[in-house]
Amino acid sequence: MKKMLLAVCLAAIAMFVITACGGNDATPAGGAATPAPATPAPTPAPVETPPPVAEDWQLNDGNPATITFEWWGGDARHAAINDAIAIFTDRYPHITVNPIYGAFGGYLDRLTMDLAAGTEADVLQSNFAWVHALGDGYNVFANHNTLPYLDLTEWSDDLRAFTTTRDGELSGVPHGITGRVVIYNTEMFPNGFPATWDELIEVGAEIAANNTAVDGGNNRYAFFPVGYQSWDIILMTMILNEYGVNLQGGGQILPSVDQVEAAFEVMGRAIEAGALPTFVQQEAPLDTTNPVWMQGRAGGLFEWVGNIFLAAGNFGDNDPGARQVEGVGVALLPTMTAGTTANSMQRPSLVHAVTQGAVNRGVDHIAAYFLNFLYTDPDALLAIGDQFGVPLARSAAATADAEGQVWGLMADGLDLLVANTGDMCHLFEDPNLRPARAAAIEAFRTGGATAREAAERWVAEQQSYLNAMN
Amino acid sequence: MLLIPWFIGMALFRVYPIIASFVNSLYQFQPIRGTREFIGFDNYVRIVGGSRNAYGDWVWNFPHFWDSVSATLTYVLLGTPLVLIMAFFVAFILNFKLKGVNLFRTAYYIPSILGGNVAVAIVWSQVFGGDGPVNAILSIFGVDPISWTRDEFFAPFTLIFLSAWQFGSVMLIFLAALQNVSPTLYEAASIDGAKKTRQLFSITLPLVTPVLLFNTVNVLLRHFQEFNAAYLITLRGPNRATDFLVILIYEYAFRRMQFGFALAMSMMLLLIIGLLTLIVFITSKYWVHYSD
Repeated sequence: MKKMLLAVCLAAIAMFVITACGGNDATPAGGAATPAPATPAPTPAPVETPPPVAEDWQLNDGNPATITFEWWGGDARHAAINDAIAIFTDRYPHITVNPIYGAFGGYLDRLTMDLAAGTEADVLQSNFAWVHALGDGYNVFANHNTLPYLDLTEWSDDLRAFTTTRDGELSGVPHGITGRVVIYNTEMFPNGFPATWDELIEVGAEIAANNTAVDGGNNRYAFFPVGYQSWDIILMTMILNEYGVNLQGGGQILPSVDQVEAAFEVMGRAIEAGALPTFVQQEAPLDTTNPVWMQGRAGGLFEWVGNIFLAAGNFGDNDPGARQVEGVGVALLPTMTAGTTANSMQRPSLVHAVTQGAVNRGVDHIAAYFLNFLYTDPDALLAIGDQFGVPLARSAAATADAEGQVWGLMADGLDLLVANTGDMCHLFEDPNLRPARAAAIEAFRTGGATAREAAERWVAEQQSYLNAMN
Repeated sequence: MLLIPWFIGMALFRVYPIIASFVNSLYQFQPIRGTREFIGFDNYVRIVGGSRNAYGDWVWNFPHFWDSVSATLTYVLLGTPLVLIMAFFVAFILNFKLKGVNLFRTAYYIPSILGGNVAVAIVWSQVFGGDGPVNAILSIFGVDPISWTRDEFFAPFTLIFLSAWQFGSVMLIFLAALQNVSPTLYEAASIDGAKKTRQLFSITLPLVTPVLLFNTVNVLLRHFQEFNAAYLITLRGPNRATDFLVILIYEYAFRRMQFGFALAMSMMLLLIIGLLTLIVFITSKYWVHYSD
């Protein structure tokens, strides 16, 4: 099953990349679809024969050197990567790898400051969106196509296409893919999560029949998306599934105002019925420790596959992080029209990149060797384990499979994800576009805008940023 | 000669950054990409410019900035007096010779030590949450639960209350000033038949006005710099009701990578703070009384 999962992952990635930002292959519903202008996916450069592996003494001609590696994560990830670094420095004692690590919060701020000052790490962990927002053609990341020692045959063409930026440069290597799926309370939905929004609204109204507290109280909800990113992806997925159009193509926002308005209206009906919480009812904390979910008063959350254990473990009497979770199932988002293909928006989970700073400092070959080591060395892979999530690079995926790292709810979520491939445009999480959408959604949810006004704002504000970008 | 080190420090760490910020605000400045294109006052035109739409209504080029100005001024102009009044009131009480007064002084100062950190933000979110203690107390009086952090009207007040709660350091400065008021003045006033209220307004308040001026400027500046509470508790919303200028500047510099534009907004913030501070100083000659 696990091998099959990884194979399906790779196949799904191929589909995913081919469709790129322009549109997808989902069957448009009700004939209302507008054909999306296709934006060609970036074409990765062909991979040549893998480079030779340096003997211990050969790396940097045996001369001492120091590189830095920066990442974010929790304690377990920090410990695992430090172990991998120790393995590397044991093998190459003349090379020092300085680790810089911390929590995700503030990581981008530090990275921005470091990049501005030219003091960025030689190898760093990045989000998919930052590769494009920070580095797209601006010499922030090294061109990995030309780095020595980096065996690009580890990554399929399709995987490398994710991080291929302007002029065919490869700005990093992706670790795996991720996307949000519904994790649902099986007690509330014994027959599975509703397949359409109409069904969810109908069931949600029954569940919410006894909701009396306007501020939340002990209300119950059929679906409780946490955080504005969830609402953002839900709206975009509705549009993607119903009309077959993605966010943008050729510098144009592709969904029409009518299409966005239709999605807002469905969202509004769900809120009105009590299936989704109102803005006021959804108070902080905006994460998986939200008591509405933990106490079993929410029918479902909309979470990243990588967070499934955390989210599911916080449910009921389960242990946080537990893989064997009682009372929780995994599903895709409902669709607006019955029978429509339910896709999920996916993107690389993590990217690792050698920076232009390493090139400028003349240590890019060591940085590339170290990056290659993290993805190919058997001991390093064992040390890292599943701390970066489910890998798709060849050696890392084989190790994960052999070690049985992919199972339980996460495997179920990945199965769903890769079997129902959608595509997250590389500009979806752009720091200029996303706040524009978030503001429109918040205005709608707080009653500050009608579905039509919110849709107009959703389209117009993003378009103005796209115009400025181009 | 003795002032030279101070002048060097002032020039390096105060004057130079302001001048450099102003100069860079005239550029489309992106240090990460290494781009720096001179665009004159375009960034400022984007902020303060606008046009009339088809209906004849004025529309700002960048309404987000003015939303933030509104949110910031609401917070500053309501929060500053509230902190000053609270701090003075408590300092006035703690100036009496009460049993255990030192304990109270410490207790009131503790919130200032805690500052606006993440833990305080979480506690504050819970205190003002839907089923938090504030609503629980209000419910005793038959008041329906209020969404303190998710309602556009109440969210700014939640942050203002948090700011007012942290009045400890301002209170200590008031307390020091109160203790410097000579007891002989009160004795003389008592002999002349002045009641406590009259003593407060005719002796105490006039004599602490220099400290009141100092505290006013300080608290004003602190409120303009508020970041954590709005970022963590109200998430800058709802609908930008608590989207303060410093957060907007941070967003445009470090999230959207529009450094030149962010610097132009910083210059606008400097101008606003400068104007308000100037007003305080100009009007101070009418309400600040120096003992000489």
